[in-house]
Amino acid sequence: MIATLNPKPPPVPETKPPSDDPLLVARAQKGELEAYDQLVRRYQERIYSTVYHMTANHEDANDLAQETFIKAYQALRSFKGDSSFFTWVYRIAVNKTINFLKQRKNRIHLSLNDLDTNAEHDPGLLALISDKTPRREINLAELQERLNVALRKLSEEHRMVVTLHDIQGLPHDEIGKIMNCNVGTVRSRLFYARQQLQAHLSDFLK
Amino acid sequence: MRLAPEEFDDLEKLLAFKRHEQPPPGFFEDFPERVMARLIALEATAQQPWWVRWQTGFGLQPALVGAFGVAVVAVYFLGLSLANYAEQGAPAASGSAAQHWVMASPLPVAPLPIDLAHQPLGQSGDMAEASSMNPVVSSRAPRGIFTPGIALYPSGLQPVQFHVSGN
Repeated sequence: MIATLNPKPPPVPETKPPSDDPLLVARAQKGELEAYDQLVRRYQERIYSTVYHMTANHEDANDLAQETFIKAYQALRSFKGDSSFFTWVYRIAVNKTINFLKQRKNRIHLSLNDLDTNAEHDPGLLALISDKTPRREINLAELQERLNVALRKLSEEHRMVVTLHDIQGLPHDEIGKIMNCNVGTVRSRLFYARQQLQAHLSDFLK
Repeated sequence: MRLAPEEFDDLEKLLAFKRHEQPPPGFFEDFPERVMARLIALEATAQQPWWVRWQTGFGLQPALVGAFGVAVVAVYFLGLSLANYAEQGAPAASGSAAQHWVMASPLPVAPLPIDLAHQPLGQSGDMAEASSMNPVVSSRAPRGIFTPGIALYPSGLQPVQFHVSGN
């Protein structure tokens, strides 16, 4: 039973956009909803996950992800193709999420998704916990909550960089394009955010 | 203390744990349909005439409908009171009522000769003599069949004929 499970964390999604994106975008710009539906299906998981890891709330993430795709469709005629559709839609999601979080400061409660069945068999995580944590009987749900609480202590911009890089697996330059800042800023934000997280999660990382 | 990038390896493993957090089963199957349904609804709304959109918008917010009704009634009564003010109260704003009536009293004009008063309508030349300085030529009431003493005909009597047919 366990052997059939893939114990590793879900792989980082491919960051290179498919080659037929421009064709779908052009069709969607002409009002073809079927083409836009394909684009939504292609990027929904990444957009939802980014928003979810930022808000730590499934309902908010669902709403914001939907609004992102609606806003993107409404603004599609202004999309000139200077960046990929992938980067452009990510940018909309990031801006929407950061605005949302700034408006709802301290008024967001955690509504965490369930861990998939592979979590308790993740060898990297188990090794980390068993080697470095004195609390052997670690509760994964508790770890999940501690991790989300630690992330919430970061500023929106620092949390976004960690989310995009360490969870979503995007490269620095792509994050720079999405967040409209240079690579140096991305690196320094990432470094600072990791330091903060290291301090907040010190008892799991001894 | 500044940490070297490799010092974050454990933290990265811990953060990778978050990838195990997954939305409820079937969420991503339904998600595009929800987005498309909202887009179709938005497009349908955008194609409706403005008054339908306005009505629909109010339909969702009864408080706005009530506020709009109150505003309409308030504007109606405001207009009514302004109209009354214009008819009755406006001169009082520029001076006292007594002053108003003094100014509005008939100007001292000489009475018209009796002949002129008995001329048929349209032949008196009243309008030709009116000016901005002296807009009221005559203080008499206009000649007409309902004005006692002032006849339409110079003789002062109106001819009446009764014709009884039959018997």
